[in-house]
Amino acid sequence: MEERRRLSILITPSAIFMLVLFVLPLLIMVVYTFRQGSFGPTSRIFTLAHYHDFLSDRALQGLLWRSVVQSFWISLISVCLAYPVAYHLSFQAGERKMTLLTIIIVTAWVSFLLRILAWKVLLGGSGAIASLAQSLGLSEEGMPFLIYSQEAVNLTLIYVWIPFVALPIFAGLERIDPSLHEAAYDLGCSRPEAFVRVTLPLSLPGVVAGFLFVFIPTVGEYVTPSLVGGTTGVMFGNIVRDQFVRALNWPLGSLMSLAMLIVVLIPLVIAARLFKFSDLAGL
Amino acid sequence: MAEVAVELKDVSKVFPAGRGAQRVTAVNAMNLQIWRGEFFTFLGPSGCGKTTTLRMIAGFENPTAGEITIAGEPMTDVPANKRPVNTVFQNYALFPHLNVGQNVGFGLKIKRVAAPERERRVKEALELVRMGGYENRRTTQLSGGQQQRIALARALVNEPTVLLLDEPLGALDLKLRKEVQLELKQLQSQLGITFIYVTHDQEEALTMSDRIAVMQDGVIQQMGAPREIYESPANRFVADFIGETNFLNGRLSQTTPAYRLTVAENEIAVKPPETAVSLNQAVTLAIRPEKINLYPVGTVADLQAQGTTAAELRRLFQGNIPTANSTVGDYLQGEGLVALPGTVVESIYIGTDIRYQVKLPNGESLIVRVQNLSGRYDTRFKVGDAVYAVWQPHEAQILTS
Repeated sequence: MEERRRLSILITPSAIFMLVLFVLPLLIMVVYTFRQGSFGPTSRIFTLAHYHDFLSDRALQGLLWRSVVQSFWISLISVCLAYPVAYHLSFQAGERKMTLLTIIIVTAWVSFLLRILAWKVLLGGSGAIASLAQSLGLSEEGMPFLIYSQEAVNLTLIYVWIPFVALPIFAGLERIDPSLHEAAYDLGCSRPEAFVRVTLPLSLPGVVAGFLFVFIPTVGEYVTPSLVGGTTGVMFGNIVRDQFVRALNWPLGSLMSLAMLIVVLIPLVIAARLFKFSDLAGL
Repeated sequence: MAEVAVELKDVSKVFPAGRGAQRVTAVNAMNLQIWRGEFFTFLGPSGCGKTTTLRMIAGFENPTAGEITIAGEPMTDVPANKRPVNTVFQNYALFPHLNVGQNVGFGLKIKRVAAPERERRVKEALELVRMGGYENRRTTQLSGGQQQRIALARALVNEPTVLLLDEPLGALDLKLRKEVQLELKQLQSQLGITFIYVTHDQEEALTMSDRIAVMQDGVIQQMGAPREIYESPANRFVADFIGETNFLNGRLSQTTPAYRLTVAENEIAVKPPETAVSLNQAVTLAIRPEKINLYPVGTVADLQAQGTTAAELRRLFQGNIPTANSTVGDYLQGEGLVALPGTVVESIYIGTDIRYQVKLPNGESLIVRVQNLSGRYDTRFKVGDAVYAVWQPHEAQILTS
């Protein structure tokens, strides 16, 4: 009993923190989905009209689905590109390990916005890539070559996310007992076989963690699309933002956010079922 | 002559200096032949190069110089996965993502052995290590002893020419370790596979091995059967590392007709040394604590006056009780035994034995182990008692290095 009381005292501050800053706002958001208007007298009328609107709006649902699929591919490609980085860092870097790790971490620290803007310049009409394309005669002068497209959004996001994905995969690889690799060779595995049968399966929790690190924020992404996406690169997050800032339709915006939250929770729940939480967290 | 399973020719391993690490010669020009079907043990303290030697045989490390052959085939360009050896790792290295059956069948699966045969052989291997029916268990659910058996089954199922074992019992508790030692030894003689075993535990090495190589600083100090290593250690390191040994400083005082040695202000008989020793040379005399017997001083009458029973006296004098006024010292001399006078300075009761420390006239001391048998006079000495430390001349050995 004494033990339990001590424990409850210890977790109280963090419980209050979570309650006030996460649970309460979430509840407010859910309440808003039932209001007719954003503010004023209409906000005191409760209705299911927005649910009806959202569920019958195929275009809106289509955009959510598109953003989910797009995030899935961005996450998958980020994982595929980050894996060799993490692998090299863990098994081949040797004495340069700390140096390389620091470089990756420092990259991750550089402002998110700054790195997107860097790509805006790089991809823009007078950017390095466009200039190269022009000098090779692949495109005309002043033509925006890659920018303002869904591809530009994908490229930028993948670039931004790689360090964030590489770190949990690296942590996962570092946790593998080196003697397991030796055991694999000892039992007849060539290097590729040892990778497929031992290293890869054992690094899966790190891979899934890295995937979720990217997938969850990318589904709701709106900064990158608004900077390098143009009209074709719009994501669901941009529409949500528009509901709050332009259309001032907070209830619909809240409902769309809720829908997004549920979509994001699905892979999270699956991952939590398949792996131990401590493995995912790299503990 | 027996068939050679593994041969090392002038094998050296040097780890170059790295960040914060000095250049280390882990193995220095080692020459060795291990016979087929032999239980061979590398024994030595940590850092002596025994594990490096094993890892070179397994193919995890490449020798800096020299050549390793297994079953007559040079292994220089053969990677670990192509060698006819399997390893039981110190921490077992079981794959945590696979169950017991998948772990044991791993090597067969890699070698594309068809599923029915694979299952049969996995079952056989598990039965061999008395873990039949554990196929579907997760390895994390097993105790240390069970994991050790699974690791053994996983290696043996591949029918290797040579099985390498890297301190496989290190993580087990003492009682279990003793059990598994005997099991391993039985398994090895039953299967007839060459076992190469690495350990720092001298008792383990003595219990299981056909032959032991005692290593220090990357060099084999002595190689031979357990009895040979224990009874006639080649040098001070081996004598000290294998079991407990008393060392006395001595000087050779006579070489013909028999060897005699001056130790602790006495001249004693000694068996001829293995290496050439000249007159007056300073040497070390090594004698095991359990080879020494303690005798009381004084006359037989004195002993009787102290209440020593007839049975104890008979045992003390091997059945022939001398006359009442003859001394114990005279008796011992007459029997041709070495007898150094001393004083008991410590007496520790350790259950199976009594462990005495006896101080000699020149200040050196001897550890003496006396078995705790009933009716033995020598289990009752107290601190301060004057005694003779007694042994047969052939039990002690002259060491020059």
